[in-house]
Amino acid sequence: MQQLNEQEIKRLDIFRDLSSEEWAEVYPLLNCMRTIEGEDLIREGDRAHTFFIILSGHLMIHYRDGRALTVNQKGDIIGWSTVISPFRYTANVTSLTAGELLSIPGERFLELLQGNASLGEKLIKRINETIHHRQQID
Amino acid sequence: MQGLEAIIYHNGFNMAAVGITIVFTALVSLSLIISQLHKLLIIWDNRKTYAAKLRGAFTEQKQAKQPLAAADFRDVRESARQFKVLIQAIGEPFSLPELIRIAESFGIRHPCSKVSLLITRDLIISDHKGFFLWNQEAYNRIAERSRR
Repeated sequence: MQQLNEQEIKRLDIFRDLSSEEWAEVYPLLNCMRTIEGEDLIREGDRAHTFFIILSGHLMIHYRDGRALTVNQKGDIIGWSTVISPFRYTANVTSLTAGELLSIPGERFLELLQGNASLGEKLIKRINETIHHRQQID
Repeated sequence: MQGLEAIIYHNGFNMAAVGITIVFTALVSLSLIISQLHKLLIIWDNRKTYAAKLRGAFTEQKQAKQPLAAADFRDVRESARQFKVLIQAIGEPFSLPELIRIAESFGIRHPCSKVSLLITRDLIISDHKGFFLWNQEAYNRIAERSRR
């Protein structure tokens, strides 16, 4: 995480409401990862093991029936199935370009949300807002 | 000569130390290989992308040296030309993953990043139902600029 600017990450929409104490609990869970063009990041039906936050790059979320949408906004989230039962990914995600993501191990993220009600409420609220504002294709 | 004396005389302790070292070195090597196995699997899963990148590495060096704006415009124009033909063939609205798959099967290099480029330039636009459309007006603007 040394290559990441902590303050810059804290300003992302999803973390904006967190107090210093809450941020101190979340920050150690964050890992930075790079994606390459054409990389299959998530497969539909797989156990939802990781929650992702976009720092850069262009990702395609696509379904078995051929529908798709693309996301490329910094702070956009991928893989909210990690916090929603039955904890299985509901879509495929492919990286259209090289990019950089923050990843959070799903189980630890869920433990954090369940273990700290205030923090959980703030993050879930932000996740819901992001999902709501995302282009709807259903 | 018996017992410890015999062991020392025949380098028993040295041989035991070497044996332990060999076994532990092998175990550490094995564990390192297993711990990195997931990276090999990622490379295997994306082997086509890596192969394409390797193939294109030399030919793309020339493009990188040209002024960015001109190269960027040429990339958009060239990608637009390629994908316009494909989209006309598969019809509209079209599935984005299907378009990429077909482009790949036709040997178009870097289909994912080209599709990304066309989306960011509004040449490919969403129908808001999960499928995509070709934006002929945006294409005409690019064609017009290239004629100047």
